[in-house]
Amino acid sequence: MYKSVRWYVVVRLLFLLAIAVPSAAALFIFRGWNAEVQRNVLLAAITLVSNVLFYALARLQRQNIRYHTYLATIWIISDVLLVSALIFANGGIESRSPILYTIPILMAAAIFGRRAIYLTAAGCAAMYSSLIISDYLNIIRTVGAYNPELRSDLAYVINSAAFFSAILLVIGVAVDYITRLLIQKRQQASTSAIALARAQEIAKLGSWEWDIKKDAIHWSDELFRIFGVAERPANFDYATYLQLVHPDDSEIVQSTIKKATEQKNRYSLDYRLTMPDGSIKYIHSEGRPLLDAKDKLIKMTGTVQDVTEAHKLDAVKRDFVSLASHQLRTPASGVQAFLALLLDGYAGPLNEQQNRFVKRAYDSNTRQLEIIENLLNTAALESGKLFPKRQPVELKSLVKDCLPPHQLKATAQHQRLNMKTSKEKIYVVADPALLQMAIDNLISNAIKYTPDKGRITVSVRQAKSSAYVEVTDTGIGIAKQDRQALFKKFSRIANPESQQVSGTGLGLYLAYNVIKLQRGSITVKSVLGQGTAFRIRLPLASGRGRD
Amino acid sequence: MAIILLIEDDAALQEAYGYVLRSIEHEVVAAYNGKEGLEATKRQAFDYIILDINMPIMNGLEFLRRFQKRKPPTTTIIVFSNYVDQDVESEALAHGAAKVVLKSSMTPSRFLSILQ
Repeated sequence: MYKSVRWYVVVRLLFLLAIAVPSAAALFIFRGWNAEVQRNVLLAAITLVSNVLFYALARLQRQNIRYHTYLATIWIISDVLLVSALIFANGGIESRSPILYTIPILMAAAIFGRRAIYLTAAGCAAMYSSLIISDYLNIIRTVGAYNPELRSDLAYVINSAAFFSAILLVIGVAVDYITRLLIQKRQQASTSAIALARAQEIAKLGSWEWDIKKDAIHWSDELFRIFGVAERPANFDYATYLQLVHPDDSEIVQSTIKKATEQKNRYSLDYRLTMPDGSIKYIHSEGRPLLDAKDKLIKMTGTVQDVTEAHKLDAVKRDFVSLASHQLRTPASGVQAFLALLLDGYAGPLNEQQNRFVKRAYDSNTRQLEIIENLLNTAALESGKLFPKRQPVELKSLVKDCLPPHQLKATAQHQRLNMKTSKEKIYVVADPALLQMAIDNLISNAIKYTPDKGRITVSVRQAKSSAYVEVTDTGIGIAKQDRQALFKKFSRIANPESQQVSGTGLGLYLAYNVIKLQRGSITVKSVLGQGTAFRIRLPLASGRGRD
Repeated sequence: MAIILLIEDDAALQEAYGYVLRSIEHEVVAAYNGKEGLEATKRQAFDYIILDINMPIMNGLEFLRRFQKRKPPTTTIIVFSNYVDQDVESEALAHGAAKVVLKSSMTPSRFLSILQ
């Protein structure tokens, strides 16, 4: 719309220079500085001033399409009035008039499409009719005495009306024809584009291209809809795009895109948008680099999909898991309390067989509670409700406290579970409960996947600015191809030995993400058939030896 | 031998923990939600109050808020819950709880060692 308005400003200026100024100059040369010339100069001046005024108004609000629609409408109406005034000032209808009326007709067609041509033509026709009727009334009023001269005046009015109406009609039809031809051509060219746009709308998936050198972004229409942007910005660059991203996600978006452009890599990222009405949208974005022949990055291109609905379903699922787990935990805790009472002899001494059975029940129940705990933590992690505390933690004593419950299990399998560490205290900044959960999961995994009489070693040490907790076992090991998926949710390794081990496939997933939340990392080394070593790295607390 | 108020909505846990505490000669009063707990504190004074957080009618945090002003210095409150995130813990401690214990890491006899 802004461009159409600017186009019209140029046409008006040309009109002003090509018609109004020369005609006023010609009148001045041939007839001197009389009233007619003055009127012409005045009209040209009004046109010039209104031109400047409208142009200034058009520049004010570039983004608002409704503003420009109103502006253009007022402009067309004022032009029709101005042209009419010009015709009147020059003594009524004459051969120049249709040319003058062409201007508002063309503008209306350019801005509002074909319907506007008919509206403008109707407006012009009404104007002509009023001119003709006023002339006709003049003739009637002076018809008292029959005068052949006046009869010829009447004939002149009727003839000129017919003539100009015909010319206007021809102009209207011609403009209409050309517009229709242009629209048709554009439609032919864009049939596939329309199909694509429709497909994007249905899939709520938009496509984009970013010219890195020019820092110019091109978006498909659907993308503007997804981002809730009413009109394409005039200069759409990376900084403009970043403003649309949810403030909390801006950093991850920037670092991901920076990494992808530097390494010329693909990326895949989920993030949030804040809509103008304050609601939040979840989107999934994919990008890949476009390289030239010299392997230089020229563009990034990709897609963005609105996954808000899927996200809501996910939240419902998580809430369900969370609620179900909470409900399961209460009765499971009750079972544990009473089994513990039996084992601790509150109901009298148990014989060997009774003790073994109750112990079995107690172990199964403990595993059940562990699974429930993992499900709850997974649900909390995925809904972003796991906020780790950040406090100084002495790592050696924390790891030491982790061992006793596992010691029972290891002893039952005739395994040796040892801790190895240096003398000095090691401080990290972490959430002790979450850190303990991660270490528990690693130790419990090591015990599960290590055959009887095996050895599990937990070592704690520090080097440079990091602290390390390593859980090493002499277990069945993990094949190279299985290590990739190891930390994914529900990943369970498909080899015959591990099939016999029970588990939810959540332990490592949780450990990995919980350590990541605390700015650390977990890595794994393994030799099939010989053993596995998981290593947690955490940044050391600055200023050692604090309490 | 102490007088203990056990505020816990789960009947099984109420019975199991009550049994262990009574077995070593403590006197245990059972309350099944915060409101019942408050009423019990109006009738007599307690050495210990063991308090669950997530309960119907009145939860543990609400109980703490209302009881805090009347709490005699001789009463020790131990929060005993599965719902222990940082917010719950700091709020409980700010309103007079002496200790917050995670329920899932407990058995009745391990719990006794905390009381001593």
